Amino acid sequence: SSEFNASYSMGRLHIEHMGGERVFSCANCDCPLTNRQQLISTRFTGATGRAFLFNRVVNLDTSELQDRVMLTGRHMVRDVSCRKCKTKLGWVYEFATEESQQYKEGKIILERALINESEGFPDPVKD
Amino acid sequence: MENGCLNGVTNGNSGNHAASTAEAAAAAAASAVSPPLNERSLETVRLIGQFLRELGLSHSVDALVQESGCALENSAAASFRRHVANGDWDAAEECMQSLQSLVTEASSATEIAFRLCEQRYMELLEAGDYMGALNVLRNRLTPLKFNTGRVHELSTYIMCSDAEELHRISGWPGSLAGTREALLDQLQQFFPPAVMLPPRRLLSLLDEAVQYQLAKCRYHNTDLPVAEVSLLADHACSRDSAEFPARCGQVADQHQDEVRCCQFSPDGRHLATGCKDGAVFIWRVDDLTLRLSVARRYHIGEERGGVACLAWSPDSRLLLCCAAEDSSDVLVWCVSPPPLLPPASAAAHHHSLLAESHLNGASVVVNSASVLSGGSSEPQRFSRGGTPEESLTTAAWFPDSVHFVAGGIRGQFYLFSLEAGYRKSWDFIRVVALATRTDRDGNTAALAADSFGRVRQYRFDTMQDETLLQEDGSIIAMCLSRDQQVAALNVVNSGLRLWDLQHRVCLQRLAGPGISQGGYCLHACFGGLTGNFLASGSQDNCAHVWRIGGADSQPDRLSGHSGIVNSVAWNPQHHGMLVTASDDCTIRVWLPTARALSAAATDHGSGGTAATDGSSGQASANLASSPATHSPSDSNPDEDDDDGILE
Repeated sequence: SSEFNASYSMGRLHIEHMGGERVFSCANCDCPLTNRQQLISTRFTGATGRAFLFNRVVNLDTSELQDRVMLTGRHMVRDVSCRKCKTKLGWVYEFATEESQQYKEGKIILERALINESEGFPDPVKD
Repeated sequence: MENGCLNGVTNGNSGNHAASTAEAAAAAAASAVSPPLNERSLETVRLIGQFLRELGLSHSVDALVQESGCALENSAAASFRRHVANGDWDAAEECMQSLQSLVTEASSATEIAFRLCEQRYMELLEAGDYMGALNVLRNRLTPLKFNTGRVHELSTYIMCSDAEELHRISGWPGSLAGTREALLDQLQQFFPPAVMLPPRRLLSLLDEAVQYQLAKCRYHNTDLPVAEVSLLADHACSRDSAEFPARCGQVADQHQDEVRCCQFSPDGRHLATGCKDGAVFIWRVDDLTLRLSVARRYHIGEERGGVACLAWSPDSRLLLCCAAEDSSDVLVWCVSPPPLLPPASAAAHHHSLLAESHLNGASVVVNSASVLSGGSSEPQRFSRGGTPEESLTTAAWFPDSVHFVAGGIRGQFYLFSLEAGYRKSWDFIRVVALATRTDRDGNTAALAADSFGRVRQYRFDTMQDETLLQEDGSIIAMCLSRDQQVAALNVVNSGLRLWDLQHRVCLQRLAGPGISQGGYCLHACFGGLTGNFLASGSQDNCAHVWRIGGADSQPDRLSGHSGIVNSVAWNPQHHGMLVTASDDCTIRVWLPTARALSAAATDHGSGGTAATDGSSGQASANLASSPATHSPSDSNPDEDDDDGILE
């Protein structure tokens, strides 16, 4: 396990797993986050470069609400970080001031450099 | 006075009831009661009258009937009862003529006649009147053409030479043994209650009321017989007098870090606790004082992320441990050695073990101090021998204490046996929690809560699976009731959900603000004498205890810890003993108030607990400072020499 495993004295965290055939996890501690089925767009940019927009991501902590001006306009966002190792991973759009940007509300940006993609498997029960 | 008659008519009852009410009304017209008794009062008088009559207080019965003007029963039924009790069979049959119309089902009249004749016949035989008996057999029983098999059987009893042989051969205890009363009780069921009351009606109503109160009693945890509960006031155990774990009786701080798991062995004699730093302690439970003392200290290594799951084998001998962080193996310690095997067979057994594991092709590390010989502090490790990416974080035993399943959210779900190691895999299931359940036919299935919020049943013998239930949130933990009929699920943001596994319906939702909102792994446990309590850890530093099925779904909160309560364990043998494990690095033992106070007093009396469980003086200091435990003015019934006042 990672040397960056920040262990805050707070009991054992419940880690969710969304499953899926291609799984995205935190690059630092391998905590599962989301999967390819949740991917909406790959054409975003974050602090470390390319970033992906996802519909739903689990195992994230969110920061306080922040007012941020981005290339696409003014948004209210929260930073998101890995629940397990506290590494900052991206942000979530809470509110977009411009109507054309409102499709992003509730969706999550994860920076490509900070996540790993790995092979998962389909749910044998559903199929 | 005329109201008495009007009451009978305007009530619009069935003809049967009107018949007796009209009689009662006529009597009421002559009675001393004013205003006349209403329906409910009349019925109650009848019940009281029956109660007094069954006690043999016949004068009271007469007085009651006269003063209330209420006939206890339809007069024909009363005569019938009297005739049967006296053995006046002809008169009884005559009464039946008038009662015939009142019988619930027309066909029963024949059966009633049959039973009367049967009793008459047996009594005649018993008295030695063979001619009379034969007469009844031929001229009364046989013409009824009812239950001819029984008639044949009865005819064979004529061969009995005396009463004693008759009793023995037929199983009929005799006319002196209350058979006439028993006969009346049986005949009663053919009549509507308005005509003939069911026997002991008042007493059964009172018993039902008591049972209702017992079911509602919030702290009830003893097997008090219904007949011993006082009727004078509603039964409700008080929190302090009940066998309910109301107070902290012991704080044990031997662990150095957050205590994550705690589990009692099924025989209630040991407690296992698992810590974030990898320590696993086995505690012995003292039979008398219910005090915990450390018996064994195991360690699984610090790099494993702490203990995630502890599971005792059903025979209470073995302890299984899963680590939290990506561990591809599970560990099994032998806590109590098994009955001794003769040396030759032990060696042979060991050889066959190794042979089998090689056959399977799995690389199982069979420790030379093998699990079977016991006593070693080295655990036996079980894995598939696969890649380090495997993760087994939860496990459950099969009833044979040999097989167990283990799994984790990376998708491993394996069946192991102690003898052969890895046996089978069920692929692509992301396992969150495990349990096993045995059905009525003796087949055991593994129950797995998975990452999709489902609880599914897996039969590793037939490789059949099915979904039992689907939750609408992520399942954090699962535990089963003792009878394996109910599962308690901790669901993210939804608190605890109780599911009936047989009927696959959600029984109850227990809201717990501290239970599931934060997404911490908090464990729950069923307990109590009848398994009707559910205790759970919580983020608010308390253990929450619910009475399941009670109208009041507010939990009792046991406070005292200074950190999140991660896990709770209820002793399966000592039903008033609950243990809580917390982030504050301690475990607390909760006991019924009287026991807890005497436990605390013993602590102080012996100057700390250093002798018994190796805990530091810190432990007794903790005990003194925790508000719930010690009060100098409390008298301890076990230790007081001179309570009571000398007069």
